Amino acid sequence: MFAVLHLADFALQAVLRTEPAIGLRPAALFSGHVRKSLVISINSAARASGVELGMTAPQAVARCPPLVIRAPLPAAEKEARAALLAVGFTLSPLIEDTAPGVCTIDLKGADAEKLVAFAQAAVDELTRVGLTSTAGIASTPLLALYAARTAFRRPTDGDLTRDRPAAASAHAITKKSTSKNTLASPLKPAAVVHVTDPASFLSPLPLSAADPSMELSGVLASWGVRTLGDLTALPRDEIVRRFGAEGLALWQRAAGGSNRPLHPVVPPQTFSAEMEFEQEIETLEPLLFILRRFLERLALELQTAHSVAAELEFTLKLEDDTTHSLRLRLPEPTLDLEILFRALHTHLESLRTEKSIAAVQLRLTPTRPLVRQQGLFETGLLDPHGFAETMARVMALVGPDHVGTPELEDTHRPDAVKLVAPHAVIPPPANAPVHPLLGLPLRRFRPPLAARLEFTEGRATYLWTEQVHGDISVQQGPWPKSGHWWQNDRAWARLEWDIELAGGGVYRLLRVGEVYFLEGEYD
Amino acid sequence: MSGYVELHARSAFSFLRGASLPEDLIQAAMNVELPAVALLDRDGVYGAPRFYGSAQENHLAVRPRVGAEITMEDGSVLPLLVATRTGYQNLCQLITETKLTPRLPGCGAIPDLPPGVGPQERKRPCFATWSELARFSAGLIALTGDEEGPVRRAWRTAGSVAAGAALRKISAIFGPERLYVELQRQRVRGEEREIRFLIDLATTHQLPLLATGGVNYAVAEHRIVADVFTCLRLHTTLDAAGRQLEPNSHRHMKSAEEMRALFHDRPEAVENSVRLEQRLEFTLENLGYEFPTYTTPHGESMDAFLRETTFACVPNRLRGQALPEKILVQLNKELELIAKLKFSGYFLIVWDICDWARKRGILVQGRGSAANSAVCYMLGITAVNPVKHRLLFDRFLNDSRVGRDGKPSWPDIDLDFPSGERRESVIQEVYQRYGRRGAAMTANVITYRGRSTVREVGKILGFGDDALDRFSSLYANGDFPETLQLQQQLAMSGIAAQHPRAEAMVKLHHYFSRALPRHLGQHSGGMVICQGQLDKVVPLEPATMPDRSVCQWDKDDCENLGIVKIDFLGLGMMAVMQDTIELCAKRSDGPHTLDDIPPDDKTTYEKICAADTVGVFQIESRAQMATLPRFKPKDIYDLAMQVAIVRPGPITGNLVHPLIRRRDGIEKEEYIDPSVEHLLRPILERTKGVILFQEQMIELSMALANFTGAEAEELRRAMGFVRNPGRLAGALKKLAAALRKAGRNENVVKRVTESAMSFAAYGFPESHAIGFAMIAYASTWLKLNRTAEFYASLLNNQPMGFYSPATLIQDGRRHDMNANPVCICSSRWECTVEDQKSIRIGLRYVKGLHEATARGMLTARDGRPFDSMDDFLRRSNFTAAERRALAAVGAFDALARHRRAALWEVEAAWSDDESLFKHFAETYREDSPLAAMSKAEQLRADFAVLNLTVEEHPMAFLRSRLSDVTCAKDLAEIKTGTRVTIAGSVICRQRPGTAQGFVFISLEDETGIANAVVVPALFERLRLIITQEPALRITGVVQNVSKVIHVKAYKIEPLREVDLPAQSSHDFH
Repeated sequence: MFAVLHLADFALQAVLRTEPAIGLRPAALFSGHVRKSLVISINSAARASGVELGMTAPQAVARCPPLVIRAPLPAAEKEARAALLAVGFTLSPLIEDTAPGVCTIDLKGADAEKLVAFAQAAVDELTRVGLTSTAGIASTPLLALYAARTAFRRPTDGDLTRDRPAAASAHAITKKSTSKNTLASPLKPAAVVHVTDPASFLSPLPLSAADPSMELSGVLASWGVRTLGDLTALPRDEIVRRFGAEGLALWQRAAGGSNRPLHPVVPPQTFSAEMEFEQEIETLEPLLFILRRFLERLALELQTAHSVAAELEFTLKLEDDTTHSLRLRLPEPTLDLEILFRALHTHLESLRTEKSIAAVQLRLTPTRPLVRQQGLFETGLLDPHGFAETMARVMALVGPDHVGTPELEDTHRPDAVKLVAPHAVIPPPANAPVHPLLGLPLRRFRPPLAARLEFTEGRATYLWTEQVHGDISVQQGPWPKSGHWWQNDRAWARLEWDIELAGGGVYRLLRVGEVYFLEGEYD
Repeated sequence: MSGYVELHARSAFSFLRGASLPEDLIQAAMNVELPAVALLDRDGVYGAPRFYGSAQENHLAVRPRVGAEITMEDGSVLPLLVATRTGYQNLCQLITETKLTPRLPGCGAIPDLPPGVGPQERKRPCFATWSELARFSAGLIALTGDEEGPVRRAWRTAGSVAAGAALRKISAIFGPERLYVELQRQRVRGEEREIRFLIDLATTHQLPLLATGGVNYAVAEHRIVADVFTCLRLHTTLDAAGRQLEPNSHRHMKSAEEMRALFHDRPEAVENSVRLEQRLEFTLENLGYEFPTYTTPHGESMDAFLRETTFACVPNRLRGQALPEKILVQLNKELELIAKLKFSGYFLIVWDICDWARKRGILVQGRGSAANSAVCYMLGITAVNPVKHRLLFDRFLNDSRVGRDGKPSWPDIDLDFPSGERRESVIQEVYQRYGRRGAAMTANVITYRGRSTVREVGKILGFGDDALDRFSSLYANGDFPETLQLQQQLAMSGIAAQHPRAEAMVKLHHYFSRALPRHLGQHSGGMVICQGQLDKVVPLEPATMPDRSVCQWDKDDCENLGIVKIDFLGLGMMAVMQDTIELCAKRSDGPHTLDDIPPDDKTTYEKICAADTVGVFQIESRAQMATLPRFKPKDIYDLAMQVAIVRPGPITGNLVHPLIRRRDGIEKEEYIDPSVEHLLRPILERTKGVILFQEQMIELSMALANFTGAEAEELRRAMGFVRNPGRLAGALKKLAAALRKAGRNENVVKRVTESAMSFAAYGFPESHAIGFAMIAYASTWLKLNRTAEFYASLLNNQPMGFYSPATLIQDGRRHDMNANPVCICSSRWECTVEDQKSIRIGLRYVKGLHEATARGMLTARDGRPFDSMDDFLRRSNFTAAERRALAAVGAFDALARHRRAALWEVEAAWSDDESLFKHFAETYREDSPLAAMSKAEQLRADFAVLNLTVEEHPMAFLRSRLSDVTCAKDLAEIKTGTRVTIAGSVICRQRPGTAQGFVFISLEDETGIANAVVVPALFERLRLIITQEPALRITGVVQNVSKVIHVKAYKIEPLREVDLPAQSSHDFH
C-alpha cells in the first residue's frame, strides 16, 4: 500500500505559513516574473469573494478589495517541502518527493488496520508545523494521490472543492457510481481517504485529477469530457489513435494507473534551514516565528535520523549585506523543541541590529558531527579558533556592524563606505590607471569640526574651529555635490572648498545647508 | 553686450540625454540675457524647429543657432556647429547617411547585433565614419567636445598621446580655422587637470579655446529629469546607477557673468564664443526648401495646364450638366490666385496623385479646408461643392496669408484613402516618384503621458510592479481631468503620501507631463516632398515600417518652416464604403459610385434622428447618439453641425444647448452683442448666432477686429497649435487689443475671446465638417439600404470605429440581417454577402487560422466542393489546432452531425508528419460517441474562437435568471424617475474630458444597448469594479429627455455568470 501526503495550493500555503498575521484573510498568489502578473493560487476566503485563477491583480482586487497579494517565495517553498518530507519520514524510510506539495510513502509492511490512523497522525503533525494537508491511501501511488487530492481540507486553507467530483448530469457521458471507499471518520469529512474500490472511486473524479497536458485538457474540455469516468468510457484505441502515447498515458492514468517503484529520497545529512525575506524584518516576533518553524522541521529530521542537536548556529543577514552570526553550544544535547527555541529566544531578545533583517539561516549540529577533510587548495588561519575568539571580542566592543573591510560605495557622496566581509579570494591587481591619482592625502576629522567663518566682501577671510583657526590666505572651489534627491530622508547636498591658512595648513572646508565644517586636513 | 553665448546645449530632443524642452532653453537664455544659443542635439536636429520657433516668438531676443552632436564610429561624440546654409545641408546629409546606411555587424564601436533583433534596434547602430564626416564637413565648425568628445575620451582612457592623435584626426578634416578646443567647468573636483591638458594641447596645435556650458538642462531644477533619463538610457534604477548620475546640478544655462567668473583664468575662451557665433550665418529662417514642380505633358506652363485640366474635369464632375455661372466665376478667381501665388504645381501634383489612385480603383476624398475650393472640387480632390454650401475660400487660400518664412502660406490639402494596403500603395507611389531621399513621412513625437510616465519613472524610483500595475489599471490615459490629485491616485495604488519617494514621484511627474519627448514615431499619413533632395532640408531616418523613411520633424514643425505636407490619411470608413460599392457591383440598383447614393433620403435622416447609427461614420459614438435625437439633423449642413458640435471645444463653450434650443425656437437667437449683430448675422446666421466653425472665427475676426487675412490665419493656427498654449494666449491678446481698437465694447471682447479659447485645438473647419457629414450620411444610407453589403464590408475592415464585431452583428440582427456562421463549405476568407438580407462570416474571424492555408483550402474547394469530412481532411492542410478551432465553431456542420462529432473526426486526421500518407490511407471511421454541445457551450466556443456569435446575444440565455432586470429596449417605455436595474456586457466605458468626472457606461443585452451615467464619487468608490468587470448589473433611476435615455446609477455590481462570455469594450476612463 501507498500513502500520499498532499499540500494543496502548495506555493500559497508555503508563503502564508511564514506570515501568521494573514490568518484567515483572503489571499492570492500571483505569478511573479511575467509582464502582467496573474492569479495562480488562492485560498478559500479569496475564492468565496469571487477571485478566480488567471485574473489580473486589479481584477482580483475589484472583486475582493482586502485581498492579500503575494508572489511565490522559493525559500518558503523549499522550507515547506523539507517539512513535508520530514513528516513523511515519520511514516516510512521509503518516501518519494513526487512533486511540490506531494510526498508518496511506501507503507509496505505496515499494519493494514492502522494505515488510516498513521496517515491521520501525519496530517496532524503537518498541521502542527503550519501546513494543511490531506492524505490518501491506496494500492498504487497514483490512486493514493487521487485520494489525497479528493480528501477534505478545512475551508480556511485553500480549497479542494474544485477538484472534488462534480455532478455529472450535465456531461456528455455519464456513469453512475456508488462509493464504497472509506473515510477516516464517518461523522465528519475526513482529511484521509482510503481507497478500497478503485473503480467507483475514480469514475466521478474531475479530469484534472489525472494531470492532462494543457493542450489535451483543452481538447477534451471541448469534447465535453469532464471526469475520469467520461474519459475511460471512450474507446481506448480511439483515444490512442487521436492522441498517441500521450493519450494512452492519460487514459491509463484515468483508469487508476499501475504500480511503480518510488524514487526514494535520501534522509537529510545536514540539518539546516534558511530563508530570505521578501520584505526585511524589523521586529523580533516574525523572526522568532520563522525560527520556530525551522526548529519544528529540523527536530523532526533529527528525530528520523536518530540524532539530537548539540549546537545551534544561526546567521542573520542584514539589509546592508552585513551578517550577524551566533553559535550556541547547548549545555546538553537535546531534541526538545521548547529548549531549542528558548535558547534562541534568549539570545535574540538582547540583540539590536542597526539594519533590518533580510535573511536568516539556522543550522543544528547533531551529536555525531561530520568529519570534514580540509581541501587541498584551501588556505586557512593558523589558529582559526583563536581568530574567531578575537573577532568575537572585537565585535563585542565595537558592535557587529562595525567589523569588516571598508569598501567605497558607488556614489558621488564623499567618504561613503560600507563594510563588507573580506574577500575569500584576493582579486587580481587592476591595470595601472591612465592618470594616477595626484594630490595630497586628506586626513579626515571624524566627525567634521564645526566651523565659523568671517567674510569680507563676500569672500571667506577667517576660519575658526575648536582645533584650528586663522586667516584664510588662499581658497579654491566651491565644488558642489548632491545626490539621493529621490528619497526625502536620504537626500544630501554639500559645497566643498580647499583653503590654506595664513599660518600654514591646507584644509577642506565643507558647507551643508547653512552650516560650515572643516572636513579634514591635507597632509 | 553680453560677452558670452552658449554654443553647446542639448535639449530633451537628444532623447534620454538633455532634460529640458527647447522652449525652456530659450527662456532660460533670455533670463540670463544671452544673445545667442546653439542647440546641439544628439545625432539630429529634432528640436531645432521648436528652438527656432520659440526664439521667433520672443522676437529673436536669442539667436537660435543650429548644430548637432554626431556619434562617430569609435563611439566618441563630436559637436558640430552650422556656419552656412551649405553647412546645414551637409549636416542634414551627414545625419541621414548615418541613419539610413545599414552598418555591418561588428563595424566600428557598435556591438554585433544578434539575429532577429527588432526594427527599433536595427535603427540603433547609427554613427558617422571619419570619411563621411570629411565628405560633409564644408560649412561646419567642429568643437573637441565634452567628456564624450574624441579628445577628452581618448585622454581619459588612453592618455595624452592618444588625445593628441584624436585631435589631429579632427584637425585634418576641419583645419585650425574651423576647430575649437572646448573647455567646460562643471565644478567637479579634479577637472582642472584635464582643463590644463586641453589648454596645453590647444597651445601646441595653435587652436583657439572655447568655453561652453555643456548645457544639459535649462535650469538646475531639471537635473532630476536628467538623472532619470540616465537611468532610462542605461536600463537601471536610481539606486543602482551610482556615479553614472550627475554629481551636481551645474549643467544649466549660465549667464556671461557666471561664465566669466568660471573662466577668469582664460577670458579668451569666453570671448571666443562671441567671435565664433559671429561666424555662424545660418538659422532655420533660410532653410532653402522648394516644393517640386510639376512636369506638364507638352511643355506648357503649369498655370495653363492647371486651368486646362480643371475645365476638362468639369463635365465628369457635374455629370454632364452645364457649368453654372457662379462656379465659373469662382473657378476663375481661384485659378488666378493660385497662379499669382505660384501654387499651380502643388495643385497639379495633388491632382495627379488622386488621379493615379482613382485609376487604380482607390477611393480618395480631400478633407479639411481644401473642400472650400472649387478647383479642388472640379479636380476631384474633394467631394464638397463649395459654391453650393457657401464655403469660405479664404479659409483655404488667400494672398495675404504669409507663413513664418515670409512667403505665401501653403494651402493645406489632406487626402483620405481607404485604410490598409490601398493607402500604402499610394504612399509607395510617392516614394517611387520623388526618390527615397526626396520624400519622407513626417515624424510624430511621442511624449511621456499619464500612466506610462508613472510606470516608467516609478520603476526608476524603485516602486514595485504591483503598485504600478494597480496605478495603470486605475488611471487610464485621456484628456479628462482626473478627479483625484496625483498624490491621492498614488495613495490609492499603494504609494502613500508619506512614502519617502512619493514627493520625488510627484515632482518628476510634473516635469515629465510637460510633454517631454520620449521617442520619435511617424505621423499616420503626413508626407513631405522636396524639389531637390529632402535630406538637405531635414535629416531622414528609417521608419519602423519597412520601405518607409521618416524626417526628424513633426507636421507642425514642417508647417512652421514652410515645408509642404500632404496628408495621406487612412480612413476605415472609406475602405468600408469602397468595399460596399464593390459588393454592390452585381446589383442592378447599385450604387456603383458614391455619387449614385441619393442625396437627401428622408428615411436616412429619420434613422439618424433616431440615433440608429451603430457602425456608421462619426455619428456612432455614445455622445453623438445622445445628441442626435435632440439635434434632429435634416440635411447635410445640419449633419455637419452635428459632427462639429459633439467636440470637447464646443461642449466646453456650453454651445450644445444654446444651438439646440435656438433651433427648436425655445431660445432667441443672439449675435454676441446687439452692437455687432449687423456684422455677425451674415456670418453666424446658419448656426443661429453660435460660433461653430473655424471659418466663422476667421470671418468674425476680420469683421470685428479688422484683422487682415494673414492675422486671421495666424489666429486660426494658434488655436490649432495644442502643444504651445503660450502661442494661443499671445494670439488672443492680440485679438482682444484689435477688438478694442476697433471700438468694440468689453462684452464683445470677452465673449469673442472666450469662444476662441474654447475652440482651441478642437474647432472644425466648416468644409471639413461637411466632408465628414457626407461620409456619415453615405454610410448611414448604405447601412439602411445595402445592409448585407455594408455589414460584410464593416466586418472585413475591423478593427475600426466604436463597436466590436460582436456588437455590430447584434445590431445587424436588429436590422433584419442574418449572419450565417463560419462554414467550411461556404465561407470565403472575408465575410461575404449571401443574399440581400444575409451575410456569411469569413474564415478571417477564426482565431489562429493562417490566411495562406485557408486560401489554399479555398482554391481546392473552388476546384471541387468537399463532399465529406474525409475529403476535406485529404485536400486541406490545416494544423490540428486550426481544425479544432473550425470544428468548435460549427464550421463543419455541413459535413458532420454536430460540432462535437466534427471535433471527434478532425482529431483522427493525419498528423503533420503524415501529410503524404493521408492521400493513400484507407478511411476508417467510428461514429462519434460524444454528445452534442448545449447552447451555452456553443456560445462559449463561439466567443472563445471568433470573439462573436451569430446567435442571439448571450444575455438572452440568462434572461430567465434575471427577473428583476429591465431590457435595454424597454427603457424607452419607462417614465423618468423610475428605479430600474439594467445588466449586460460592458461595451463602452467613457469619461469625457468635458463631463466633470462623470462616467458613461454602455451595457449590451439581447435587445440593444442601455446607457448608464455614474457620478464621480460613485466612480471613485467602485473604480476597479467599473473598469475591470466585463459585465455589470446597474441599478439606478431612468432619465428620459427628448428620447435620450440614461440610467443614473447608484448601485453597480459585477454580473458574474459563467454563461456570459467576456466581450471586448471600448474604453476611455
